Amino acid sequence: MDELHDLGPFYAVGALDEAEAAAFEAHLEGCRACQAELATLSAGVGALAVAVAEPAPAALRAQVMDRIDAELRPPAPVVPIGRTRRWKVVAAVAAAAAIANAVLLVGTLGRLSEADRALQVMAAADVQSVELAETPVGPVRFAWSDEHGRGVFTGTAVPEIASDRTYELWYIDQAGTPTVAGLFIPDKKGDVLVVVDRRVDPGTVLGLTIEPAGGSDAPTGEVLIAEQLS
Amino acid sequence: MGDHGTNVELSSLLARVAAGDRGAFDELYERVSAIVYGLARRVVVDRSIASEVAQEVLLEVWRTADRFDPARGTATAWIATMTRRRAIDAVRSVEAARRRDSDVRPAGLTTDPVGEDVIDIDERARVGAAMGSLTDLQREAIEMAFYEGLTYREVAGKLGLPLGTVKTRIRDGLIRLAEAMGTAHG
Repeated sequence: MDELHDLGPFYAVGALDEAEAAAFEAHLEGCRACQAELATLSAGVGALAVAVAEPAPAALRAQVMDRIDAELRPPAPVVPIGRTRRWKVVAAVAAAAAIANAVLLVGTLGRLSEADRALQVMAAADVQSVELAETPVGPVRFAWSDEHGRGVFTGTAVPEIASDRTYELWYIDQAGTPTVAGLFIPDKKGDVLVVVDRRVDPGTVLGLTIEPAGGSDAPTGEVLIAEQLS
Repeated sequence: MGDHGTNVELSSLLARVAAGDRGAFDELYERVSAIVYGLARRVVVDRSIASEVAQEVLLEVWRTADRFDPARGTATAWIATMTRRRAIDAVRSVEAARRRDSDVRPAGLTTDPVGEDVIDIDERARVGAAMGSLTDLQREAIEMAFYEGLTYREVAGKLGLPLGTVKTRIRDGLIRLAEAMGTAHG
């Protein structure tokens, strides 16, 4: 099993560790037999995805297309700093501070792009925001952009909770149906930043509850925040 | 619809996407979103995280379509491999964040409406039958590695089998699945 030549099937299903995968890839460049074997096995790898296919949430399509369209759109012209613009700069600076401090947990996956995605919302031409100075979890802000189909929840003094609990954000629609908007656990300083990849539809209420770790499908804990957004 | 045809079409869609054809991406989305989301969900379980993973993968497909090389394998496998990698990374990030080893419990949106993506029922049925025709060892070894992210040494340890046997099981299983997808691949 020391032979790189033998590792093709393992590489195909991702069962090599990083160093082995890198070594195998280097070998693969010059080995026609391994290239042919992988090409044959690849249809089987495709089958492993087909076998578990499941219709994607309807919202996914708009999220993906919006991001692609945003990439295709030429950069926005520079707007002279006026009243609106100044607010946005302030918001962006505040967001940057929150981002710098926040520990990104469940739902954010610690991706580097998270901060950028939050800033995109804060800097969007159509950003709207609600600031709540006094809530059971301290001052919080929720900003959202229809253009990006996304919202950003920030807090700066969110109390710690038991390790078997999580905070859970909700969007509650006009019919009163809750939708999970994200899970979070504050860092030691109480900083929180959650990017919600979900459009704020007219009549949406932002909710916050404490739920068992892993989250719930519908709110079960005491309602800490219920704020009409639009 | 034959799968050979499916992958040829996916390949040509990817080529158009690589050239920046936005309409081709719309079509590609219809064809692969269920595969991407379903695989992400099989790996991470949590619906909202699966949706995040799927979103990133589909963006990556848009950005890197020019790197797909049909000589190296099928378009479905290329996208599946990308999805699996991000999904497993996501599981690891979440686990690290939670500082525990247990699996991610479902926290998804049961009320979330699903899209009208195309799932090729015929293909799905053939693949399902092929999965059912694998020996238990073939299926277990493949599932542990591909869906659960174990290395081959971990798989061998769990199954109590020599590495060479695990390799043979995985290879034979993949070949059988490949046959179900249509023999014209390569």
